[in-house]
Amino acid sequence: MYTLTMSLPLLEIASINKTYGANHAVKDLNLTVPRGEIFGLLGPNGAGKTTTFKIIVGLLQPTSGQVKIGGYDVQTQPLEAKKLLGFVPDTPLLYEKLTAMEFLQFVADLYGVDRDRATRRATELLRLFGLESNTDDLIDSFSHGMKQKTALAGALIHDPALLILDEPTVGLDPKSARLIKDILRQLTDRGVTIILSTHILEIAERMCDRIGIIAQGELIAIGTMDELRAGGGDGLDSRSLEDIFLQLTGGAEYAEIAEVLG
Amino acid sequence: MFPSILKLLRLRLRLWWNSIKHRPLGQKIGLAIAGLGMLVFAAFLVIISWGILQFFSNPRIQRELQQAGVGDQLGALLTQLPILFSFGAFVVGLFANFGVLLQGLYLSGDMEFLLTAPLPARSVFLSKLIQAILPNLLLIGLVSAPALIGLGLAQDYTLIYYPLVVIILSLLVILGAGLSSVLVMLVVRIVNPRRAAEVLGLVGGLTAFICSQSGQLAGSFRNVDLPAEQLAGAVNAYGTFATPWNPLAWPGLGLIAIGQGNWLTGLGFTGLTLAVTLGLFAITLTFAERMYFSGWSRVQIGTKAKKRKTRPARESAREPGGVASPTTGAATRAGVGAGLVRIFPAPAWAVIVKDARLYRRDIRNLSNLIFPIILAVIWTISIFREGSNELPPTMNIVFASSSLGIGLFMAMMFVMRFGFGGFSLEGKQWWILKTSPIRPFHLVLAKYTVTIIPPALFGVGYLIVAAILRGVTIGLLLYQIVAESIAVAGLAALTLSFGIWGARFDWTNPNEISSGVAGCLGSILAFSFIGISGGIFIGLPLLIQLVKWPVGIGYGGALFLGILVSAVGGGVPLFFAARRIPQLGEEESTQSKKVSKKTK
Repeated sequence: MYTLTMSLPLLEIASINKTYGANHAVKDLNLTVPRGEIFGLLGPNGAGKTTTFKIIVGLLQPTSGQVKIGGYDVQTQPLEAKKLLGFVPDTPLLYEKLTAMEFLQFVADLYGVDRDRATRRATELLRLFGLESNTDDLIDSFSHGMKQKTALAGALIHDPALLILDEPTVGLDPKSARLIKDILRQLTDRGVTIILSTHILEIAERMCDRIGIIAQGELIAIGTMDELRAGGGDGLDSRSLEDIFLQLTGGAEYAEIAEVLG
Repeated sequence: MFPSILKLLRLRLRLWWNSIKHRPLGQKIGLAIAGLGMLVFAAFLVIISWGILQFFSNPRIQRELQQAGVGDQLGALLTQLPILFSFGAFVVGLFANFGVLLQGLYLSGDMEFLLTAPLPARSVFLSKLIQAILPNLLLIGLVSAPALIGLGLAQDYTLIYYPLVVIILSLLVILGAGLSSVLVMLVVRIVNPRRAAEVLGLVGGLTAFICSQSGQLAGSFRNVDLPAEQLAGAVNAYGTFATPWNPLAWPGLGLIAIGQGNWLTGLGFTGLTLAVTLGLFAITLTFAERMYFSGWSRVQIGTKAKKRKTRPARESAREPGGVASPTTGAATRAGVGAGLVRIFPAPAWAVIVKDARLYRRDIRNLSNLIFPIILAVIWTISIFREGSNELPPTMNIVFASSSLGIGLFMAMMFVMRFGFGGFSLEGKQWWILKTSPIRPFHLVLAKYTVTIIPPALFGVGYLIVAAILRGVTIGLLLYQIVAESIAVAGLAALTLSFGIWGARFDWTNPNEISSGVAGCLGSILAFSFIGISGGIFIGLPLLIQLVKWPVGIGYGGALFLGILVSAVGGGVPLFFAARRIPQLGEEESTQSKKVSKKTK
């Protein structure tokens, strides 16, 4: 049995590094996320967001450093840490020859969910995501968006304390994207911590309590929107997240290029 | 349009070349040797077909054949071989192109990209067709053409016969491809392309396997006499095919006539062949192209997915056992007793049920599993036929034990598939298990159960059938069942440990699951393990009987030694391999190697 100490931050990342030869995918990353917060991790392509997520969920071992979920070290106490975790990767690769219901039952069994509760939760979640008519269809007949929703249902079936979502709205229609945003907000109201990455800065700006910006494996900025705006030092409080992001990640020059091409 | 086709073919050539260029040096050398080997094989075919035909032209052999009553028919058959080979080229073109075209037009994923490029749509379609035809042309060039050239040399055919062989065979392959493209459109209209590819893989694998085993099956009927009349009848039936009224015989008839210098007849048949082939190809091409671009083939008919019959969630929740536990509705459906199910922890049972579903539902897995069953049928027929032969009493134990040997071999084929591929079966979905709180021990327990149950059931079933057919005593049958179970238990552990060591999660085709060093080394060790187990369970009792010791010592000693070998040979490797599970699927090793190479 695991216990969740309420006073501790739900996620603690201490000086994690991930190197591939001479290449630093993640460089000395420190982060603490308390319970009930939505934290957005932003960064250009190849900045190290997915690698960071993979380290948090235990898919990759860091070269050095430590990740704790609910006080449990992901490397040394993986089972306890993973019980608190729900993960949806950027590409929802699911068992295509299982039906949606079978997949959810399978995941529930892996997380040791009580039998009656699992059935009820699976039915509820499938209905919530508009998949009730596809309950007994094989996943290989699903569209990308349906797979994404099934993966999210799988991540939620065991009521995780920490939800990690890599690009959760990619491939979803506006209605589904809105649904997911509403669900995430409700989950945080119930104390669930959410860490997500997205390239849609409007989502990050409107949904996230705090935002971290990562570039070349380093966390170069972190804070609430107000803190990020204040961090610019130019006194412009009306700057959008896009402006801040481009300023910090060096993407501003692309606007110039676009102008030249135009 | 032709510059566009050339551009697209250059792209294919570049992709093909890159796939060779980026291989390790060892594989490049292997490919070069294979290419050289193919050329040598083609030359060998020319010589062998020339030699065989020379042999049958020998007056003495012809006299013998005349006396057997098949001389004339056989001579005619050999002369008319071009008809058979040209028909074969057409059939190869029709069926072998089917899979390539299905892949190229519906599954490769590059059609949208190519069709949105500023290229004529027909050039894209044609380039796909050419892409499908080229490997078959190579096959024809390696098999049919050398054989027909050998025939021409043996029959002293005219010079024009030789280039014409190549032209006619190529045209027939092209015609086959044209018809095949229409066939693809028709099939895809009815069946999902991916499902069609799976079924095709199964049929192809089965055909290849049955062909490879047909010699064995034929061997079991070696005592059946084939009367000369029946042989002559078969040859005559072929003769009715090779008539001028059959369009499929025209290419061959044209080749023979031109080879023999009958120019008028030859030009007539060859002209007809060219006209019909090119005309039909143009028609099928236009037809297939229209069906493809109009989207006709993409709108499937009669394929609405059938709803799986599952009990309503509420109903299953009310039942003892429920859904999300070892005693789930799924388990009940699988027919497993609740008592047995409770042995397994919930996560392990979940993996067992999931694996059983995946193996059953992916038809590509079925093709691998069905081979041992075919072998079993072939060998059971052999046993049934051998059963009528009287053996000396001293050989009874060898006779009875041979079914244990066969049972072990068949179980090995099952175990190798399940064991080596146990972890790799997860494929790109490995992240689901990797991020879940399942204990490595539970995972090994689940995979071990999945590995051991089918071969154990199949092996025991086979032993019982063989025992009934051979009249083996109950005592000996029980010994065989226990012996087989011990060997399978050890082998399952051994193969599973190599399955963990060599697990790969990036495969797209189940045949790639157990490739690589681990699969190769594991196969060698698996064969060795079964050899040693066979030696213990069959050899030791036989040896004890030969030295006139009590039979019980032989059987008891064999079981004891067998358990020891299984524990050491299977249990120990699995114990060490299981410690690797937490690290499985981490890209560190491969990526770091690549990066290190680049930085150097």
